[in-house]
Amino acid sequence: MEQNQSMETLYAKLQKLDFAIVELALYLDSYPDNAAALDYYQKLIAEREAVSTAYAMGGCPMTILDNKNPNLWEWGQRSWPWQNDV
Amino acid sequence: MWIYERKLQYPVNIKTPNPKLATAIISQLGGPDGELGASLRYLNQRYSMPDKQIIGTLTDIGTEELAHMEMIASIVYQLTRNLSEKEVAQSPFASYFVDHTTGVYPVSAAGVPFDTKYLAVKGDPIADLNEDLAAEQKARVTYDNILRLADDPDVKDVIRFLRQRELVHYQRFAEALNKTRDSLDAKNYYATNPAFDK
Repeated sequence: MEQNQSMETLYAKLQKLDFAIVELALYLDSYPDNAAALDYYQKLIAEREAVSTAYAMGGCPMTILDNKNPNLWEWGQRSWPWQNDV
Repeated sequence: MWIYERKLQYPVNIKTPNPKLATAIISQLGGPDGELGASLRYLNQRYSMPDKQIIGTLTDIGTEELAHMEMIASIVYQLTRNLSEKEVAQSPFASYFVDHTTGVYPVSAAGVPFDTKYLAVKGDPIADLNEDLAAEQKARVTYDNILRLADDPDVKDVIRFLRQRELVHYQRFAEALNKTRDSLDAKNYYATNPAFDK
């Protein structure tokens, strides 16, 4: 289902999921055995995996671990997050 | 070790340049209660923190502050994008422009360059965590003051997000301080430093 979405949509989804994971991680730092938080963590990680894989297939690497083009290092070929031209 | 993720933690999409507002907001990059000082404060306090769980909190909040530093820099960059010489000359941004053009350099709203004196590492968990609680409140007040000065909804939306994060960090540091207190010998409450006295 994630495959048919635009890169912008996938980026926005990743932004939201990763924020939720950061917020949850801070909570778990204080309450490491909270069952509800740990369940939610598993759910978010699974969801993130699908979105992250679809995003990487779109060709824009999120990290230096995600270059999928065997013929070009895409890292410096794409816009950077603050450059979103409006 | 850190790895860069090619995204902002929260979207920054400013449509209208406003160099005057940039001069105020840059304080949360290089000012006394800004995100640069916050990230360095927490990440450097980790080594003398005896509790592994609290090192986790310092690591994660310190890392999030790096993401906030990038968001503040993005706001400053977008507020000063495509300015004419006339727009610069008529704005309080002109004094910054003389030395840095439209580059992003960490200074306070009053133009004072970033100083490591803004952060504290005392090497005592009680002292350091109290410092962190105060730091989060001071950053929250600075965001409140920026919200008083800002009238652009694109900017205010991002500043409100950052302000809210200070409240969450304050809560997490309060839990860390309580955990540290609980682990101390009550009779030696302020006489021992659990990072130094064994």
